[in-house]
Amino acid sequence: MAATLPGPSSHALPPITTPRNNAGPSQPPSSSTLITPHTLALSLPHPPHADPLVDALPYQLLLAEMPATLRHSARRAIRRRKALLRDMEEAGLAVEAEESSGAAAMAKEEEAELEARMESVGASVGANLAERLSRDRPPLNSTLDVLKFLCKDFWIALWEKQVDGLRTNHRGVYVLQDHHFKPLLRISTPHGTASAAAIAKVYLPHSVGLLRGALARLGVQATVVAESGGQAGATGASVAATTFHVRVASAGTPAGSGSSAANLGANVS
Amino acid sequence: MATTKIRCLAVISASNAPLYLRSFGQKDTQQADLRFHFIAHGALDIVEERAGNRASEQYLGLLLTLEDVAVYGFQTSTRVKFLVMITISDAIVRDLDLITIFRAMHTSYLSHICNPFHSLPQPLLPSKSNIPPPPPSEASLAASRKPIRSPLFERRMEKIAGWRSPDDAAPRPPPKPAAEAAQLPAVPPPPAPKA
Repeated sequence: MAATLPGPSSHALPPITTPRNNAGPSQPPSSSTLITPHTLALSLPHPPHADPLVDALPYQLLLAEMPATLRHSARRAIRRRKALLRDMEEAGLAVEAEESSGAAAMAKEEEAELEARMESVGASVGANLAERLSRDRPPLNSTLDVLKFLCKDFWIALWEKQVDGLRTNHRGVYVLQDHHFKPLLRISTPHGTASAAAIAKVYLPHSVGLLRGALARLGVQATVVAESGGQAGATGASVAATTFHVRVASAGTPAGSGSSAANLGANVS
Repeated sequence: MATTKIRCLAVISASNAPLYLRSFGQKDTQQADLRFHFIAHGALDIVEERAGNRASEQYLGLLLTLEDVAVYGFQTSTRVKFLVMITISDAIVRDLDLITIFRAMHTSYLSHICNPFHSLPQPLLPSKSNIPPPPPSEASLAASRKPIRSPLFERRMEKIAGWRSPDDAAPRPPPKPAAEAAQLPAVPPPPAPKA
């Protein structure tokens, strides 16, 4: 019944031998009988023949295609919601009056839905990626450790560089600066920086979601707000210069809404 | 019996909710013994204390012994906890073996959690397997807090525990050499006779 395992050469476990039933002075039974070849195989960080890293290019292509598909999905969701409201109204149920209708409001609603979808995709990807990356790393005890893990390992895994600057006011607000943020690096239009910044605004929620998801999975409840350069009033001339403001929800203060960029000096509660 | 056996494997979420608990006893039942739930609950309290003190390690070692099982624990950086309960015997229990088991569980858990299809709403019609459909309250949970209902995860846990279903009349095929077994995470190899 005891399983004999040949010593695997692919990792550093010592050869495991178990006492046979008819052996003479065998060594005392040990828990090594619990290890099956399947357990050994699963305990390796990744299958020996499969490369765990994916080429960065498919991710960039996927990111480029995401807004178009999610916009489609957002439109359908809005249409469905409006149809439901209409049905309720026809059936005689009271319905909240809509604030305004018209092309501008429709576009805004669509943008809001798109942003929500990009961010939720980012959140689940970021959470799972944080889970995988933190696998072989030492445990992260404080919020600062989590932020440092984000700035180094997480950023490198996603965008092949580290964050260029991390600042904190030691009261729960962290500012991460990346001067050449990879997802926005290749955005260019013939109309200049302003329109490039508008396009960047579509892609930023995904990265915001990545950070928020990773933080949440690692146990830090926070809101993340991003701003890229090239917008009116923002620092940095190039579109790719991005700043992420992370506001950690402490015990006393609820996490604030993420609609405006937080100022580092102001203590907003 | 001098050798020790895995009696139960458990995965507990960061908010101390059970994600998966499976006992490997003599009876062929998918429902875990209530006893193991109780033991896991007791072990969680000890995890809380130990994880606070020894903040620099993930493997928590022997947590408690109760009746005839010894419980070992492991906490990941995302505060997901794994518990392994083995029968107490005079076998020497090495940390290395348990760490291997925990890493195998961790890999299976990571594979499962990264699959986005598990968070989709379950189909309304009952499936053919004898697992009862999940209660609708689970659908609103986040992916990391949802109980694990996946046949692949079950199979992997069974293989980690070295558990054979009592339905198997044929003797267990001899273990494959490690090179072949290393392909397991991708595709389970068909049983092959040992050369």
